[in-house]
Amino acid sequence: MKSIKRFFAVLVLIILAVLLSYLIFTGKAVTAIDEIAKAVQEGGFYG
Amino acid sequence: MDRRQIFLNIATTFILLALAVMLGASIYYKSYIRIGEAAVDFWSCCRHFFIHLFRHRIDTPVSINDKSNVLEWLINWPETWELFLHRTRAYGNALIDKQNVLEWLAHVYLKMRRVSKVLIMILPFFVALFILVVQIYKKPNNKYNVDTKPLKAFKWMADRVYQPIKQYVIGYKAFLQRHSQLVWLFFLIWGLNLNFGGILLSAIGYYLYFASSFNFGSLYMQFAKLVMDLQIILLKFPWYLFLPLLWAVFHRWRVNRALAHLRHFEAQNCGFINELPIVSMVCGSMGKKKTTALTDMALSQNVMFRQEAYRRLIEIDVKFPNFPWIEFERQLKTCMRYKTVYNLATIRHLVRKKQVRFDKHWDANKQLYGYDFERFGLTYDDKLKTITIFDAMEIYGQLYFIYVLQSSLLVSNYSIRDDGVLQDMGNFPIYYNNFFAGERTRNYHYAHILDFDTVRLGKKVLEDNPNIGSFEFGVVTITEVGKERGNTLELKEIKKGSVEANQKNDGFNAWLKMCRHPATVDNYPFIKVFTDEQRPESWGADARDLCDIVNIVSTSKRGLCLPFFTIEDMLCDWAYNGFGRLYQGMRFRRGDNTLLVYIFKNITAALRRFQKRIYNRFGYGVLEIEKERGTMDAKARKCKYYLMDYKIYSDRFATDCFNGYFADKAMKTNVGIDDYPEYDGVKATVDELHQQHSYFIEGMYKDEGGDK
Repeated sequence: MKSIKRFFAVLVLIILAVLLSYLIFTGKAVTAIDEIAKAVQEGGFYG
Repeated sequence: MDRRQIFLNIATTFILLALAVMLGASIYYKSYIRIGEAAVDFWSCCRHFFIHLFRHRIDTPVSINDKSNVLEWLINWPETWELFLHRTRAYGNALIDKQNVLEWLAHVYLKMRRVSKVLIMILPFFVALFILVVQIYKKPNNKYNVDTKPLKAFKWMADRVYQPIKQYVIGYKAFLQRHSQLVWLFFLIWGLNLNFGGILLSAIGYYLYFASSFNFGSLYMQFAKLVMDLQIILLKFPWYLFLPLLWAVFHRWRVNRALAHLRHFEAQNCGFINELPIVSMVCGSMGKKKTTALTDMALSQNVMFRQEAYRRLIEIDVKFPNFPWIEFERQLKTCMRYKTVYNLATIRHLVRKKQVRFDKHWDANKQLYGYDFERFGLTYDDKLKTITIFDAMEIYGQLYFIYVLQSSLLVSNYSIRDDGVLQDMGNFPIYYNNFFAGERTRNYHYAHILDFDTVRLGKKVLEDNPNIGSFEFGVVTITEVGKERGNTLELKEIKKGSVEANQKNDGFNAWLKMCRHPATVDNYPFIKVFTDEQRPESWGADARDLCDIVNIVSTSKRGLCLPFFTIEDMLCDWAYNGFGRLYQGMRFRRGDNTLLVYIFKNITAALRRFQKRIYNRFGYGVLEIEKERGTMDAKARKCKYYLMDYKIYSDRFATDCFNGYFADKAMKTNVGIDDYPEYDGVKATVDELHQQHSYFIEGMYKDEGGDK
C-alpha cells in the first residue's frame, strides 16, 4: 500500500514537472513571437 | 553570554543592516522612488474617496490608473486588457499546436543530451571511486572506537570551521529571539528594498478609489502594475533565496491542515465519550491498546469537565449579570488557599453561612460584596423554578472550584500525566490544555492516587483512613478492574460477613451505583469511571451491568495526518534502509570509526529524526470498536476511536504500570532466563517434565500412580 502510494506520488511529480516545463516553454515562445511581431511593426527588426 | 559573543552579535547586526541599506541605495533605489510615486497615487485616491464620500461631483484627477514613470516595463507583461486577451488566445493555440510540441521535445532532447554527456563523462570517476572505497573499507579490524586518519582530519576541520560557525549562528538566532525588534527592522528595510511598500500603498489607494468609483475597467491596469512592481523581486533578487521561504509557507499550511484533522478526530472521540454512561469498561485481548484507549478517554473527559464547568459558570453569571462575581471568586480563592474550602460540601456550607448572616442583618456589603439587591433583585425566575442569589452562588462556587482546581481531576490506580495549565493574571483564569500544541508545557501534574477506601461505602482496608468520605467528583480510572474486584466464581470462597474488608462487604458496587449524587452540580454529574479488563466476565455482573462495554476488535496501521509527506517519507526510508545495510556490514567487519560511516550516519540520523518527529506529531491509529451494554444481551454497535500519537504517547502513562511489583520480586532472586535449564533433545525426558512443576504432568502421574 505504501509503495503504491509512493509510486503514484513520484509519477504525479514527474508529470507536473513535465507539464510545467511545457507551459513555461510555450509561454516563452509566445512572448518571443510577440516581441518579433512588435519589432517588425515598429520597423526596427530589419533595421 | 560572553563578551565575544555579544560583540559578534552587535557586529553582525550592524553589517547586515549596513548591507541592506547599501543594497537599497545602489541596486534597489528605484523601489524608494516608486514608493514616492505610490504615495502621490495614494493621495489622489484619498482625495477622490473623500470628495465622493461627501457627494461632491467634482472631477478629481486620479493617477493610480496611469503607467509608472519610474519602473520600466522590462518583464514583457501585456500592458492593456486587449493585448492580454490576444496573448492569452495565442498561448492557448500554441499549447495545442503540433509544431510547438515538436519544438519543445527538441528543446528537452537538447537539455537531456547535455546532462547525459556530463553524466557519462563523470561516471567512470564515480565507478573508480566506488571500487577504491570498497577495497579500503573491506579490510577487517578490531580497533575499537579508534578514529581513522581521514575521520580525524575531518573532525579537526569541523571543530575549527563548522562548529564555531554553528555555535555562532545558534548564538545569533538566540540574540534575534531576544531582540525581536531587530527582526522587524530587517523585514522593514528589505520590504522597502523589494518594493513591498509601493505595492501596499498602491493597493490601499486603489481600494479607496474603487470603493468610490466602481470602475471595473481599471482592474486590469492594477494587475499589470502589480506585475511591474514585482519585477524588482523577479529580476533583481536571487529567486532561489525564496525557496526556503516558500517551503516554510507550504509547511505551515500543511501543518495547519494536519492539526485541523487531529482536532476533528479529538472532537469525534469526545462525542463517543459523551455517549458513554457514568461507568464504562474497555475490553480486549493483550496488546489491543486497552489501557491506551482508557487513558486517552480519561484525558479527554478531564478537559471536557472543565469546559462544561466553564460553560455553566457563564450561564449562572448571566442570570445575575450585575452581581460582582469576581469578588466572590476572590473570596473562594482565599478560602482555597487557607484550606477552609477544599471540596464541594465546604463551598455549600460557606454559601449557606452567608445566607444565614444576610437573612439576619441584610448587609449586602459584607455578604453580597456590595450587590445592589434592591435594584437588581435577589431572585431569578426561568419559568421552571425560582432561584435565589445564594442558590446561584452555591452552584457558581462549586463550578468555579471544579474549574480552577490546580491539580488534575484524574484519580487513578496508575499514573497518568496531565499537562493542563491554568493561566491566571489575578482575574478569571483560563484553563489551557491543547493536546496538539507544538511546544510542550513544563507545568504538568500527575493523576491523584486512587485510595480505594474513599470509594468504599462498606468496610475499609484502613478503618481510620483520614480520606474516607472525601471523594466527590473527578475522572476515576481503574486498570485491570477484574483483578481488583473479581467475579462470582473467584469470590466464591469469600464471605460477606468477614471481619476484614473484601469485595463482598466493602460497598464498592453500591458506591458505583450512587457516585453521581455527590458529584452532581447544576444537574450535571462531574464524574466518570473508566475501567479496563481483558474479558468483561472477569468483573462481577452486579457492577458490570452498570457499564457500557467497549470491545476493541482491531487496531489499524499507523496513519499520518500531514498531507504531501509521501516523497520526504520515501527519501527518509531509502536513506535509513540503505544506510542500515551498509552499517551492518561495516560494524561486522570493522571496530574503528570511519569517515564514510560517520558522515552517512549523521545524515541518516538527521533524516530519521525529522521523519520520526513528523510521525510522532501527526501520526494516529484507528481502533475498531464494538460497543454493547454491560448486560451483554443486546446487539453491539460498531464505532471508531482515534488514538493520536502526540496526545497519548508523549510520556502519558506506562503500559507496564504494575512492573514495580514484578521488578521487586526479580531483584530478590539470583536467577535469570539464561540460568534456566534447557531441554537435551527434541523430546522432553521424564526428569525434564517434572522440572516444569506442571499441574497437568503431576496430575497424570497422580492419576496413574506412576513413579515420580
